[in-house]
Amino acid sequence: MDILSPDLARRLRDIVGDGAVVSDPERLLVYETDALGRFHQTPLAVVLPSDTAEAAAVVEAVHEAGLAIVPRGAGTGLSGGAVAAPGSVMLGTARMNRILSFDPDRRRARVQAGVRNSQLAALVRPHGLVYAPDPSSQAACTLGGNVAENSGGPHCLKYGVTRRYVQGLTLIDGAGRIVELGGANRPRGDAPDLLGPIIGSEGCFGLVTEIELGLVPETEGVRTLLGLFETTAEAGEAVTAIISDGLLPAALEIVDRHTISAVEASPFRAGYPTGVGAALVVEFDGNEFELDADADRAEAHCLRAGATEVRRATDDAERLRLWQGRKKAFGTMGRLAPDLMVQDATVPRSVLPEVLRGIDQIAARHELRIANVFHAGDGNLHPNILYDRRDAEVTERVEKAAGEIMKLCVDAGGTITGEHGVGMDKRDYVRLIAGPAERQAMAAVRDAFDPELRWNPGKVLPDEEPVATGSGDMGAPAGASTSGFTPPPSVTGIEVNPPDLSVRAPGDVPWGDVQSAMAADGQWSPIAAARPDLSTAEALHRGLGPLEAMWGPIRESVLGATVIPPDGGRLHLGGRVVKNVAGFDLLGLFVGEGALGRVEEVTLRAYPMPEVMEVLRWLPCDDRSALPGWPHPQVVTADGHAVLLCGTVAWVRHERARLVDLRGTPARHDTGVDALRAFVAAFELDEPFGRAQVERDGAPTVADESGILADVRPGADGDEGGRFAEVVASMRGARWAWDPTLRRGRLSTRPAATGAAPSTPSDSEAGHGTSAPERWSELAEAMAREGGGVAILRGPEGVRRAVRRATHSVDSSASATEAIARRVVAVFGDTLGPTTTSDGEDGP
Amino acid sequence: MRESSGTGHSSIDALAKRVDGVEEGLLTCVHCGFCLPACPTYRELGDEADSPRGRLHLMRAVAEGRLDPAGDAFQTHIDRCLGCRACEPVCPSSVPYGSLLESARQVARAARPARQRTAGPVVETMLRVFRSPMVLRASLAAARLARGLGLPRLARRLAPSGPNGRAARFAAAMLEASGGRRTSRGARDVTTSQTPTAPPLASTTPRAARAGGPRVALLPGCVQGGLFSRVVDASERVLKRNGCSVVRLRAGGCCGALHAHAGDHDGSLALARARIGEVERLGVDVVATDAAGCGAAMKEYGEWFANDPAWAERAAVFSDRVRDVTEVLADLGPMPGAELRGSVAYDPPCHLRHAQRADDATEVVLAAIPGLQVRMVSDPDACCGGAGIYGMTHPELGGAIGERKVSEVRATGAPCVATGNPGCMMQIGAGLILAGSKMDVVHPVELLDESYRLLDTTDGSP
Repeated sequence: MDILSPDLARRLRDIVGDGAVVSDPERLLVYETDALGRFHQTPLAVVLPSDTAEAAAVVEAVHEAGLAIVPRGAGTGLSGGAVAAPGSVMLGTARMNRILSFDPDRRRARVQAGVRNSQLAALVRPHGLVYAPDPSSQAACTLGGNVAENSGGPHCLKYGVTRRYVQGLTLIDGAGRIVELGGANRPRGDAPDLLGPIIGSEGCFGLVTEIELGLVPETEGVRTLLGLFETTAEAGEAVTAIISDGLLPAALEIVDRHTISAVEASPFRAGYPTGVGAALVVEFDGNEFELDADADRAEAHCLRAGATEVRRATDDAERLRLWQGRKKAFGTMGRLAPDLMVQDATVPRSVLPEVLRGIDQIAARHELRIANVFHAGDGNLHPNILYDRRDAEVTERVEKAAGEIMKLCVDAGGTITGEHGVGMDKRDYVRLIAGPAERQAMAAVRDAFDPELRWNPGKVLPDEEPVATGSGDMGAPAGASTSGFTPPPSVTGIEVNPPDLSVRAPGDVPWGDVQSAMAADGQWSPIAAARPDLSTAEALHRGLGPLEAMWGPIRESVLGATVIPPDGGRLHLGGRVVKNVAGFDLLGLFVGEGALGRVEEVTLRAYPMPEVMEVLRWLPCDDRSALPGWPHPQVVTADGHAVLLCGTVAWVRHERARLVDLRGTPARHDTGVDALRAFVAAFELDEPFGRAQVERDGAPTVADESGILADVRPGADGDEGGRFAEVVASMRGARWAWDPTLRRGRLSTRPAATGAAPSTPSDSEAGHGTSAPERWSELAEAMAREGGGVAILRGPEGVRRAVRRATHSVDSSASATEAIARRVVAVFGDTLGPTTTSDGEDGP
Repeated sequence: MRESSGTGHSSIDALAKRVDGVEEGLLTCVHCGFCLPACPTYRELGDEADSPRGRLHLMRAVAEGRLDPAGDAFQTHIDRCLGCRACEPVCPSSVPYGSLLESARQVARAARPARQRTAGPVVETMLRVFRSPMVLRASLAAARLARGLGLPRLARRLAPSGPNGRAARFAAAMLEASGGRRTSRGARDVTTSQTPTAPPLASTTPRAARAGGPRVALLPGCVQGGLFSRVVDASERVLKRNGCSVVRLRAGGCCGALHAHAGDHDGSLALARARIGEVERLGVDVVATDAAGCGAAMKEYGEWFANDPAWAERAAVFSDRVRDVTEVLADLGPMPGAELRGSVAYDPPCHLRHAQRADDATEVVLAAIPGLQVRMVSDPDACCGGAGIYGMTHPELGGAIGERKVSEVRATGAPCVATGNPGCMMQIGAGLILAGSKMDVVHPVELLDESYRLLDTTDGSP
């Protein structure tokens, strides 16, 4: 039997202390499985470091011993992701449970990976803030685990999943090197987003030790409805009706007959009448004045779909009781049968009713009891199969039924896991959604992060049959796929699916056409900021601009795409569903700034079109007040459907202007203007808001097509906005913008010959000096020294190189990051251009 | 070499039966992990073997024959549990953790080689003492005498450094803390003033503000009766004032909770039978206790004897009658007392909050005192680390868990803290003493009693 070598044991104990190394085989038994309970394997040892430095030293020691490492948070996962590989060392984050910083004004927190989701939620609540992702295990699960799984939760219908909120993170690679990612640490303007693939990588790319998370303001009010139906199909129809009506509840959850009986038999009784076949929880959050109207509309839809009763919570206690049946569903199943296979799959919302009927048929065919609990708004199903594992014959039927359910969901346009992850449980089903080329690309990107395959081996990707030579070549087009993988049908035009809140479009059609097609069906996308004459593929290479603060990185707006990597071939990534954590996420590499390859066809997430959309530009007169670091108006709600004031209120542009993005119904719009007026008054600005100071403006973008465009991020401590103002002063004449939410400024310089916008006389003064590599080099070095950074998004190679060299001279983590980026890019046959370290070039 | 006795096998069988779902038990655990953050030892150590899920996993492994119950893993981690049962309310599958722990402790105890079949000399001596009312009364009298002479304070100062000294110092502080209020106060003010000295119980006839209340048998218990007789007296007075007729059970009669927690199955059942018999002879409506630990155990007599045809019915009837004294008061709707100015921190005992889920009643009782501000400690779900004599058997871990609670109690800024269990009163009190705090520890009924007595002395006028 494998045991930990005494040398390694001693070394680990020296790093973390005696009590933080568990190596006694008897004690290790408790680590043999996770909340799925299907796979069992004890590690050689469990090590519990307290911080990043200890964790890095532990990884280094394990690496030198040649062993694999398996990360584990609270062991609440439902896919076998945190079960040890044979002969591995498990690295637990339970002692890394400190909140490192919390800045309520800037709505962000930096936490250690072992901080519990509910711990962060409780910390920020008194400040009127919310950490939005709320998986059902939130009381116990860790944020590090949430990042590994890209966790969702009931409220991600409106607020998105974990990915939307991760602004940066610290990763330890297989050799124990500390890598900082995200924010100012993006490797280069032209490198792809590396955060994207890490989030949801199930611990296979490295160990995330620290995470910087965005927070959203608490909404003014909540309305919770509980619709009781005779059948799940009726409840599903109510969901479709609610979404199609342009309502965007914070949550839409269904529990079925079996689940109801389990909950009702437990101490967590929710008080459903007997004979109810399905219960639908509908929750709206937002501003008080609009909530009742939304709730009334939803209630009407429920009744029309056949609800026998609709209850409405009037206070917090009642609200919790309406939720009880949903939140406690999983645990109470323990009372129905000794074992439970918890399934997780996502289908397009519109096919929910037929998929549910299909699951009923599968249950009947195999004579099994299947209890359904699901995030209906996202189309995320959790069919739970009740059985007793001691009966081998039944267990076999359960496995068969589970496979059939997966197949059913994939055939309906869905995917094999929406939030629980693949882990060990669903490795084989990955073939249903990813062809050989996609699987090979996923493996290659994992290898780029973890070349020695030290992290969490045996998870996510299925064992591939040995390929002949040339395994590094992943150019096989998906057309040659086998294993039952069917590429989506080719699309000739734009296809808007209002009930699914999605739109599918070819990459070469003008973005304006996509917008118009969506508008015709009452839909809208936050990529709206892109120019209408760009092709859709080009629009996807832009970020969301200021809207990113609300809708997350552009990856959040993309459900799936067919992409052509630089070295040819064709990859089908993602899918048509809102929640999808099947396999490693490569989509982020192909959208946004620095994207690799070309998007041939894309499926985007859509939102109901607001009735009024207007961008106001507001010009405060006082210099100081225009500077960043202002408190945000708390009336701003991150309300995806009806943005009262867009979360990026303080997007300062040109000469001291603020852009306020108003969207919603006319009533919401007016309320927004009133709220903004009140805000301005509260801060005693000299000029009242609402006179000539508010004017219409175009979409908020400062991107120019020539000159230098750079992201500047001051260090994380102190008055970042003030520091950026100094930078602006030193770059005289540059156009600039500051986003206090992302704490990132953007500078744009351009040749004087192109002229200046009439509204910004200072542009004409743009000096040639601002294009000199030395200026940028100095700036990059200064920023890096303070813990920030500069990324050149567009500009001459000389400037890029100068910035890179200056950054690396200060920050060694940047070079570790770049090494990863270089390997990732190389996977797809591209390069990041000349390096600073290996090519030894000295001058531009 | 392990020398398992016959009882060892039978207790493993009993555990295995529960694990296999023959009896409702372990098998309802779906391994979801929701209990981890509720567990004080897991929060402190971060090792899943010190979490409820981990312990259940070890129990299952023993039942499946994969783990030797005499081994260090099972012995250590089953022993290290505080038994606070904070995991029970958060468990979505309603795993009866507390009673499974008792089964596991029987297994652990029986699995130990005969000559080591002790939980350490401290625990074994205590269990022996608590089995005999006479020896117990004598021991507690000695403890009271020592307390009266100020010996604990002296011992605390003289105790050597190191873990043994730490345990001794803590034990001394616990005894010192049981002595009641250390600060003098003036009338009507919890903070600074002096409430009239409690009259001897026999000489006073509290004004029954109402009549026709239930007939109540009050359990003086062992520790409560021996070291906290002032609390039992206060309970009797407030019950009578609210119209109850009160009889006391035999002094020094232990409920068996400590034995059950330590895995001494036979000891706990013998004591329970004695209590059941006593109450049957008295023919009362309610069995009340002001010790949350005793209440939790007595409410479970029904389960203890579920498989004993001779006693099952009688035990179930008994358990149905058990109430915490605050529950009796809350059911009656306590008469309001005189105003007490100031604030009090409230920390619910685990055995009231998690095991009995009856801590709301305490808030009702405290609300009957006009003017009193009640400040709930933050993180009221967390155990104080008292857990009987945990502070003595696990000085380091118990100390760390206790320090957390003490700092939260102090953070309320109140001059005193109320909690309804003698173990918690001594644990928190000892922690406060060792931290150099002047905060007092009282039982909630003591405050209500003070408030009533003020009413008497001032004739109800301010």
